[in-house]
Amino acid sequence: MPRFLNFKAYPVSFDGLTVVPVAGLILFGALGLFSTAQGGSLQSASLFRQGIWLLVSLVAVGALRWVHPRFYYQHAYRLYAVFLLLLVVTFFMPAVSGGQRWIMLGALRLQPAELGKIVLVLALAKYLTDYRKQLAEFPYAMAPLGIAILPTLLIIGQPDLGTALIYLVVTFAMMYWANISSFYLFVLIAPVVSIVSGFEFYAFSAWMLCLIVVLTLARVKLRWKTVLFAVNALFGTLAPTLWNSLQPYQQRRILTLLDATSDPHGAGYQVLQSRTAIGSGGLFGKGLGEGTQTQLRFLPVTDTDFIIAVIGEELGFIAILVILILFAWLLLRLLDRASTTQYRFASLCVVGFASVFLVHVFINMGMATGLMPVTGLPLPFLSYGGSFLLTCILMIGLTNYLLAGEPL
Amino acid sequence: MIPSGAVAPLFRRNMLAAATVVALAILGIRFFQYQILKHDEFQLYAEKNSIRSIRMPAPRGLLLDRNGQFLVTNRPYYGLAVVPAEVRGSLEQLRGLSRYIDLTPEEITARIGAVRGVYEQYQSLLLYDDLSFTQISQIEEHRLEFPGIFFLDRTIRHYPSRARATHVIGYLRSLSAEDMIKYKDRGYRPGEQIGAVGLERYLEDRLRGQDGYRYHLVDNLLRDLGSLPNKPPQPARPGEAVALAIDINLQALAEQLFEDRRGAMLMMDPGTGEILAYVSAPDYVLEPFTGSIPVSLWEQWRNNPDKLLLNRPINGLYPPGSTFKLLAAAVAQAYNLIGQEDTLSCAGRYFFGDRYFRCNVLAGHGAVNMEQAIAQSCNIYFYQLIQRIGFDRWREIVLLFGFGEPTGIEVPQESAGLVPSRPYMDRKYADVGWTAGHMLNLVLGQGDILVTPLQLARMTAAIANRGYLVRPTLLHRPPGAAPEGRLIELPDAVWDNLQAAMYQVVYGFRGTGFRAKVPGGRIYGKTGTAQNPHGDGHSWFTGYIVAPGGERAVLTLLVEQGGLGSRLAASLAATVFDHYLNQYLPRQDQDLAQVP
Repeated sequence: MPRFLNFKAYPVSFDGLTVVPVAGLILFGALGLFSTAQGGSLQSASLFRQGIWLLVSLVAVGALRWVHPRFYYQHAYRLYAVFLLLLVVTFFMPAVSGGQRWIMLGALRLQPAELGKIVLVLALAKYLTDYRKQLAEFPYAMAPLGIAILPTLLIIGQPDLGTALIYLVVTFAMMYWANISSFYLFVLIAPVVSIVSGFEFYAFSAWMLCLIVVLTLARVKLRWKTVLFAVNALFGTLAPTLWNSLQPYQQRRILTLLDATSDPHGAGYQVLQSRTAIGSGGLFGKGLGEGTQTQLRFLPVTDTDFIIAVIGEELGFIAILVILILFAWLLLRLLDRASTTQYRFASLCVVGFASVFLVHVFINMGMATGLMPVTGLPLPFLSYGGSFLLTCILMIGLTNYLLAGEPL
Repeated sequence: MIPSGAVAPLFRRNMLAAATVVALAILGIRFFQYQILKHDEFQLYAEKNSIRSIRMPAPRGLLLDRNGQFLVTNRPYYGLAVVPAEVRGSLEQLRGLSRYIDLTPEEITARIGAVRGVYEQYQSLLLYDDLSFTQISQIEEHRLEFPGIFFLDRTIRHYPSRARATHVIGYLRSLSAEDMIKYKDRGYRPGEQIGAVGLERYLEDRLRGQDGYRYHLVDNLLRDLGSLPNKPPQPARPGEAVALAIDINLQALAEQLFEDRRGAMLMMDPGTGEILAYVSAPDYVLEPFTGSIPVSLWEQWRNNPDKLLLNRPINGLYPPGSTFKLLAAAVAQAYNLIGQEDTLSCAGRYFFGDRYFRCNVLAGHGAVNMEQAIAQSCNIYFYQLIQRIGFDRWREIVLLFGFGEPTGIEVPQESAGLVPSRPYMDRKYADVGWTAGHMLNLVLGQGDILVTPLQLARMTAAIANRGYLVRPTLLHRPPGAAPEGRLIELPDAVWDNLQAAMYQVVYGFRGTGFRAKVPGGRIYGKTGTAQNPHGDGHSWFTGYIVAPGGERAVLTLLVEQGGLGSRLAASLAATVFDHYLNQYLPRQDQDLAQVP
């Protein structure tokens, strides 16, 4: 019998300072879902189902008490392998609304990419823990990228650009937390900047100049400097070609970001109506269930990715401010706990989780206000969606369990 | 305090904390910008989304006759409509509507089935036009059997009077998409009705009124969710009711006289210029214009050989015939070219150039003075007179009496007529040259001169007024309002003589207008027969009556191909004068008596 199934409940104390903001955010999510549930059996089902998922998530977190705290560390790579397998399986599932993201088991739809966020964090944390002595060497320092790139590519193929972006940002954040050299991280970021600046001649020239300065000051061999410069120059010049190889819908999503009104019937329409909903809410909102944008369905998508527009319209800037404060509270608390533990694996995991939350919050609330492209990322604890709620609550639960474990 | 075994240095912890705070602060600023700074702007967008103003059309202004009788009113109009998307499931039931309207069940299905496109599904579809009250009550009674139907109501023009006055009133037309370029700024909408012809067009701005609005909440599919309690409706302001100068009874009589004839008739108060009766025959019936007029019917009217759509009093161009002898007489006296009692002899024919010109009495009129020449309409007298007058003086007097220019009546697109000038004659007769011979035609109101009946009526009014050339008007002039016009300056004696001659036309020896006589009133007149290359001449009578009480009315009458003006036109004139004297005037006294 595996060691972790010894039916022994491990003592754990839940951190109240983490639980309070989470509870507050879930409450706001319920208010938003309650509002979109007005006058429609289909919508009211969403509030009910979200309640069921919340219950399932809490039970799951409770059940984790019987899992040995070292289980996650010991089995991180195996979980990672299962996760990759499940991602491959989604490609053999029927497509739902233009994407193959779900594994269908009867009525249950599971999105492996969601729970995969946890698994990726565990795998990265294990690597960054095991090889902490070797991280000063460049190949070891770059290896986490290798761990992240496999699931990222599979998810881009689904296609789910938003989640793929999360994976990369989380990997970067954890590498930063693992104290990998700033120069290595600069090398990692550089191609991205090269690609973006490649569209603008002057920006690209300025960036190249900046690159040369950094490379000159860096204490690495000239050979490597040359290679790095060549690679970045190549990326920058090839960027426009790359752009043209993107799918039209991907191009459109990025372009409508620049001017939401340019495509008033597609994603631009959603953003336009979302901005209108938020802006018309004002300081105190129009009142729960009174939002004309939400209730009269001018806002096409409400309860999933654009729940913040519903809350902004009906409960106003005050509620938005409270939500932002709750998120700040939660994230800073997680960061605080990550930095006060001696347990490297747990610390890395918690920072990973926190960065998952932050990227979600920033992209979701950013796209509702036209600040970020519409990538379809939900808002943690507030958006409707079972897999994601489960993932978020598991991350909070795991934070507690992991930090209770002894340092290695 | 970070314990010594911490994973990351303090700097990295602070960097991540700062990144978190900055990211959330950016979001906070963005929401602040939208929800507080730009709140008003977005509030407006949201209202634009969800609030629809529903127009309540203003009833168009009524048209009344001079005594307050209705000429044009509005009547309610009901259409039967459905929203296709809402009746898809109940088509079978809707087919039962064929019991009450002239549509077969198949036609009903076909009409609803023909609607394609997502957006169109939610717009109301007119199933049936202009329901009768019986149909409405029948359908209303069985309303529950027909889910999704509703009645579209608006008002349309109605013509309750027995007088048609078609060409005076005119009609409305629907604005097309192309018209919108011109009318959008004035608040019109596509499909809206606008005055197209006649007074409906001239009075458009007064008759139109101002539409009202009520405000309803709609959802993203534009489904109506009821009125907004906090936005009170703006009531419609009806168009102005306008009183016309027309007298319905005189008008009806005149229209009756012209029932089977082609021509024009005008009766005008010379003092004010008010048109009491205005006939253009034949005309058409206005009622069908209220709904959508079928193209076939319109084409039929347009191509009618009798020119139904021609507004003869202002657009019909005719030679004035012998009525123009009055002008030759006027100018001859004004320049002292002939004495009042000087006679010229008429032998029934007049040799000029290389041919004979005939008079209307074969045996000739003998020696006639001016008064006799006008009364008996002697051509030879005027052939000789025009030799003394000459082209330029003749043209001067014709222009002075307002020919060659529109009279300025309210009906749009009035014709100016044609008064030939020397350059015109030179151009037209360039190859053969034009001679005094042409003058013999012009002095008789033949040849190149063309006038409208209204211009001739105005000339007659000027004679009755002893020089005041009044602007004719179709609108009732409030008592005391000064008429518009200009004074023709001629010696008093000229007016005396013209009036006397016109009196002799009716009452004198061999007077051609004797048939216009009516007991009780003094009639002044002049007949004319305008030559018509297509057949019988056009029959003219123009004159005026002076009632015992001093009231005056000018009457100008033209019957196309009516033969001699002395016969038909003069006897029709008698009927109209009789009505004026014995029915119109007593009615006016009654009306006045009613005023406290």
